Amino acid sequence: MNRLRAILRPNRPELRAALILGFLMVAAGTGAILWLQTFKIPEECFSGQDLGGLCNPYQATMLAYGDAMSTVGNPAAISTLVAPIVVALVMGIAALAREIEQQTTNFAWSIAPSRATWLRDRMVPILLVVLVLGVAGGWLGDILMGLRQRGVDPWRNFEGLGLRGPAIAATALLVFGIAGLVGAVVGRQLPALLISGAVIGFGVYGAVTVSDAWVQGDAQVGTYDQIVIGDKILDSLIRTPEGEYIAWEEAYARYGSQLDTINYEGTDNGTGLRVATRYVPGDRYPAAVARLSSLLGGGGLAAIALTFLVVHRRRPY
Amino acid sequence: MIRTWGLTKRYRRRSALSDISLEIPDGGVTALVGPNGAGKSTLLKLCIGFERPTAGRLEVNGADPVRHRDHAIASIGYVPQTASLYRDLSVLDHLRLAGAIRPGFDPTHARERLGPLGIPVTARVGELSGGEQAQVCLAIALGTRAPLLLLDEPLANLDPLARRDFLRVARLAADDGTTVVLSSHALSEIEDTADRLLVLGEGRVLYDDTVAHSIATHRVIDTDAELDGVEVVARFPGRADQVHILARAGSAARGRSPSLEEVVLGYLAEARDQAAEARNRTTRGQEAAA
Repeated sequence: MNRLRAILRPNRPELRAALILGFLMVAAGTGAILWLQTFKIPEECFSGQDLGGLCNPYQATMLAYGDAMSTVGNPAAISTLVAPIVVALVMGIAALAREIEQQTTNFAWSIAPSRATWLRDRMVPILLVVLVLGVAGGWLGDILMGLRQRGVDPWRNFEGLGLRGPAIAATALLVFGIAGLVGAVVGRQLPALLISGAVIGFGVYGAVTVSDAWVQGDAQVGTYDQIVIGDKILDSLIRTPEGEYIAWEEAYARYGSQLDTINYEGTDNGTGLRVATRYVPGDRYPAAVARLSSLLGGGGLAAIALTFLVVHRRRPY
Repeated sequence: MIRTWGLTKRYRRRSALSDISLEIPDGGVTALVGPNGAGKSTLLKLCIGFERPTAGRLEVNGADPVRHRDHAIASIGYVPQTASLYRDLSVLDHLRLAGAIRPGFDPTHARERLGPLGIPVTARVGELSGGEQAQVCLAIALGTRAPLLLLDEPLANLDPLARRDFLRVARLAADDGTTVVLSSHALSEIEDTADRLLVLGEGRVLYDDTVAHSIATHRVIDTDAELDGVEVVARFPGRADQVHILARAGSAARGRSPSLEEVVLGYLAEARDQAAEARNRTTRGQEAAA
């Protein structure tokens, strides 16, 4: 324990700031969750269906709940996303760019026989802090999503994919890895911060693009009435009387004004045409979030591995 | 302790070290001297693995600092040109940090060096003077109990008293069996400390011998003296702008014994004269060709 404290002593200010930010994030998230749970509204009232006047006495409470979600729940959800990423960025820059800029690596690398061990001893505890914060943020984000769309299991809901749950921890890992790598290469804090921001942007965009393409592989086609809240809707189609699914443009070319009378509830309007949807069922969310998290986290781990390589080869100044 | 074979280091177009082969034996204090850009710091940085050779080979305590940096660094205590300490951390924090990252680090030994100098271990490094920071660096380097101490111009920013303290500690370490390599410009001050003299200039070794032998085998002669039979090294500007001649002491020995500074100045002047002559030859050759 004393050894760990000694190794992390140069990063104590950032670690303290990270813990304070983490505490505020947890306090904000937990506070919002507890407050939102004090609204006594039957779950059925969130379904959006007419329940024969059951929910009429709760109209005012539901409006207050919506206001509470807007003013407190959503900012708290944003904090669960932002705090781990900010902490990861700051810690990643402080881990190497600052050391090299202030030339304290001259001291550390002349004392430590193995730079890899030095880097491992510093990175692992900091990374753990970043990951714990990311996991906590992601977990709170999931709960807040459950309160935002009541009655829908957040793990069967594509809403907010990548902005909550394990993807937060994975994004924090990516941010920390890239900030550390860029810091090791550039060796200057401000340029490293700016370049890291750009690289992280590209990294996240790339992971989300690949993940989206991957998710499309799970798509199904069904009529509109088969869709439930939480499914990811990719495209709207028309089912012909023969059971063929075609695009709207093609349907207009074939059926013209018959489409004007089509209703979206999925019931037949007498023409045999029905609105259909290409969608990914909500129960594919765990696989989707696992794949996205793997991409983001894998990128982070790759960046950390490259950081070891750079530190092994570079000058300490 | 340190051996090089054809060691060369280039920074883009500038050559810092050119094909140098040398050996610094175990024990004593070796003074590494030369003008700015002579390659002194580069040589020390190559030894500790901060730089990689462009060509040639280097061994520190039998280990190649490029291939086996871990082994090389394990035998080195290093004091850089400017104290690269954490300004917000106390001296004690540094000792603890060194203990955490360096197996076998002896904090007690380091503290023993700092005690007599009146440097409180609880003081923040940022509050210490440049001399005190250099002493902290030296104390940490000594705390590594490494058999080789590389001191890269540590005297540059120190006042005369701090220089004395620093050199005294370095001398004590050498007396305890540590090999000390001290790069410095303060020639007059290291004369009493150094056992061996290694002069670098123009990226090569200009002179390499023990201090005692260097002084015993050279003479300083006035310019108006008879030079028949005298092996002149070079003319160099001495005190009060008076030109002196450094000569190798032979059968025709005359003049007086040189100081260490005069030996170094003589060999630097010789290197400068040779470089000027080489440039003149090149210019004459180009003119003839034109």
